[in-house]
Amino acid sequence: MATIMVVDDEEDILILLKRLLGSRGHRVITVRDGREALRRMKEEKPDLVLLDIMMPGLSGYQLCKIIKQSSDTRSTTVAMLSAKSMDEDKVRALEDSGADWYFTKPIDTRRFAESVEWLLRNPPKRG
Amino acid sequence: MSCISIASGKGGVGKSVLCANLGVVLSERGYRVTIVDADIEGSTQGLLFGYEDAHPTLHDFLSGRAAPEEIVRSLTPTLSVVFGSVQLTALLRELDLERLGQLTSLLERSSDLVLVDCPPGLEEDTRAAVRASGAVLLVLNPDIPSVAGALKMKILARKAGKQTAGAVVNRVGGEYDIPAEELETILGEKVLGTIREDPLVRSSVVEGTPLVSSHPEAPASNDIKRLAHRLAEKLIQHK
Repeated sequence: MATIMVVDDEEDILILLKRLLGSRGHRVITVRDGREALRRMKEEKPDLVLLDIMMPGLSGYQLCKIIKQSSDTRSTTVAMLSAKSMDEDKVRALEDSGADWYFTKPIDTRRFAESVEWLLRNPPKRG
Repeated sequence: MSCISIASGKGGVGKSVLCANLGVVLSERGYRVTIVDADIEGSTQGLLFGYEDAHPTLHDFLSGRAAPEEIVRSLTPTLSVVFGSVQLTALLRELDLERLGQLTSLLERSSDLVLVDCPPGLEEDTRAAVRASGAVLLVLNPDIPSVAGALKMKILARKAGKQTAGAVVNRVGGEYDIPAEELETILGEKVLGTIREDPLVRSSVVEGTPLVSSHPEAPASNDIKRLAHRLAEKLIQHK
């Protein structure tokens, strides 16, 4: 069982992912904004953080950068989960913000759950 | 789509070796193939085919010192190569990169397929090579920097008004490889083939003979043959 933190300001997504990933035996923590996510990360030490990009306050890009720049949290796998589907958005997330992966909404729940298992098992290494 | 750029965005993913080997396999299947070594500042096709001292080269054509027919070297009845210069004397600014498009247009008339070995990166030499092609085949390794490079190449191709012909994942077999189905999802591209990491590739480079000729039964040779088969199917569908 892994601990997965989902950070999204959309209630529907939080409910969907809590149910989907929870049914696979994971502990799912749902958080609605970036500041709260940073605070909860210290307590919960998640194995994987799923981050929306467009959130009030800290954006997913900014939050990911903070997570990846802090020695306490940089080893945590971070995947973006966003409706922004342009290649430019993905490059920004992977290169500028240091994200480990990028999912585009809407998700295919079965495929998404499998991808999450892959990320938990074998997170990509950077070269 | 009879002129395809083999491109990556990130250097060192193995696109020149792939380009040479794909050219050999497709030409052995009866396609008239011409490889253009457009990696202006890092030409390696001469090394890969054992023609390090080929002359005149693409650089001579781009600087106006040679005609197209002088730079096309026939290696077999169905395989020709336009080698680049391995001398570092050719400066990019002295070359008219727009002539690359003139050359590939000419070559398309006498070839079933022109494979353009692109430079790494996203600078003007790469953009010129993409502009000179009909489509872009993305080559990447199964890691994050390479995915980002492939995405940037996709953006470059889109801005140049060129279609992408799919992706090839090279050097697979590591513990932390990103699986092909995940790569397809993030790239939004069909993975046409995966090619295993194979130490015999290095031996073939040293020998100056493409892997599919020097070690036809090597794992990577078999992977390249499968990829060539899929690419050939795409070409037939396109025609």
